[in-house]
Amino acid sequence: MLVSTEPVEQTERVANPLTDLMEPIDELYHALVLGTRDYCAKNGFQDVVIGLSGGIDSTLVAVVAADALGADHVHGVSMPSRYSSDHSKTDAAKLAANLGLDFRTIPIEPAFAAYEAMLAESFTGRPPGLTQENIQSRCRGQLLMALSNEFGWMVLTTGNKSEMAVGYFTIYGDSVGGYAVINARAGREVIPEAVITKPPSAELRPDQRDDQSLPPYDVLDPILELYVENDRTAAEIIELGHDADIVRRMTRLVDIAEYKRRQCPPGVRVTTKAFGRDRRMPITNAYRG
Amino acid sequence: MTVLRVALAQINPTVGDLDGNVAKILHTYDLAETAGCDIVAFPELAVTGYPPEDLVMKPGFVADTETALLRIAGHTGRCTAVIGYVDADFDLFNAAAVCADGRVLGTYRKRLLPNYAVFDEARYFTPGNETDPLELYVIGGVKVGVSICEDIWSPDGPLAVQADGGAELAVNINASPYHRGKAAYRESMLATRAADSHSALVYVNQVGGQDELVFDGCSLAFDADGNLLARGKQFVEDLLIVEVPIAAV
Repeated sequence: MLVSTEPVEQTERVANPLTDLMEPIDELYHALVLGTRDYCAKNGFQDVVIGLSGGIDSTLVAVVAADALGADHVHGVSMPSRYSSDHSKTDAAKLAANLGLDFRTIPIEPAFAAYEAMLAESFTGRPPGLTQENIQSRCRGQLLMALSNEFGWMVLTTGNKSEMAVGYFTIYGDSVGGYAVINARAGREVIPEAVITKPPSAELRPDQRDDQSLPPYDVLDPILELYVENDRTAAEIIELGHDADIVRRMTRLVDIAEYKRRQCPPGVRVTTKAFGRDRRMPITNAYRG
Repeated sequence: MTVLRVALAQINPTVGDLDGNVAKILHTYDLAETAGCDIVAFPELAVTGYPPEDLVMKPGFVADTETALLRIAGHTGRCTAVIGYVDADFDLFNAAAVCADGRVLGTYRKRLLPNYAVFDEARYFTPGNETDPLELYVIGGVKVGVSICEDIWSPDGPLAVQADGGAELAVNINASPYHRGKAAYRESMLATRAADSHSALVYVNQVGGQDELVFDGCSLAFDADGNLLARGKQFVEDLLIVEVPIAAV
């Protein structure tokens, strides 16, 4: 089809722009920022609120949010329990001060104590455990949603991919929120600036550390990559030399966390196999491979 | 040697915001025409934003998309615009309209529909079928072939056929989501396509966030030997204006 026989006449030539490619680490960071910024802006949210624990994950989310929306539009909330370490309380405050975020502290103790009292009769004679950990987490989710409802701030969740994989989060607790900024980022990846000397901890029990419940990330993440991203079976992963007991436990956790992931908010896809559209496993699934 | 001035309109549309996307497209078109461009290329499904998902199952939405495209076409002048939109007859097609002088001159329908990972195009669209001509457009005296995203990822796809038909410039429009390592890999793939088809190649990509997906822009232009002529910005809107030398074949 003929549109025109001659090019537009030019009086002078222009130089062709050649922007350098970013380093992969910078690409990833920019993707997180753009994903967050556009999800908020295109859905009419100017402000976000984040539960700040002082740990790496919520720190990273806060930094991304500040870059995406401006520090003026990011609200940090520290919600310590009777188990929170002093340094995590001050780390959260220091981070907020450094970034120039609005910051408040709302201890969850009154709510937690109230729930314990309300459930005391039902739980008579039963030792405390996971249930009490989850109650604390849901106290925090409740507070964040109350702030969200009252002020119109979107809640950003802070779970990372490794936690999402094995279900190491409290459904309707720390998974409560509108956007899961780092849910495609493995536990021990890229850290722009963070609290890295303290072992990661959910601080839900006295002296709890992440690696008491889970293998260390450098053991866990390779297994998850094989099972989730590369679709290997547990048997194949063990064949490759990974600890059989850990592989069986962790792959089972991934399977049984499917229903939880299905109820989590969307987050930024940065790999070729993010949870969500890329990986659609059935919840009801009797395959043990 | 002929040189075409090609604008790659790396824009950030909002899915479903037809009026907003049209305004953005028209504004960018005007910049390209004022800059003396022969061609301005917009991303895949620029009118609707990508991916529109089940929105395209609403006949009213598709009708509104066609109306929006006609508004854009009516605005065109000397600069030829290539714009992604949803084409409908009995089926739906992921298509690109070629527009100039106030009207739609032709439509290309995407042939290779990705249906893996985050892509569900087979859920919505019918492939441009074998009997659709792989039409070349003579723009500024240069034979130009149009293709959409996935079309270019195959070495045996529409690009090869257009090249056999004498295409001197390939215009490939995209909504290619980011993942780690993709930008460098994509660039190397495109350079190979340009060289294999002995035609210059321009690649325009959407930029912006849509739910879980982030589109990284990084639009590109290559000469017929596969040499990189220009690279756009990543993760921000950009209007990349490139002088593309068209080698004698």
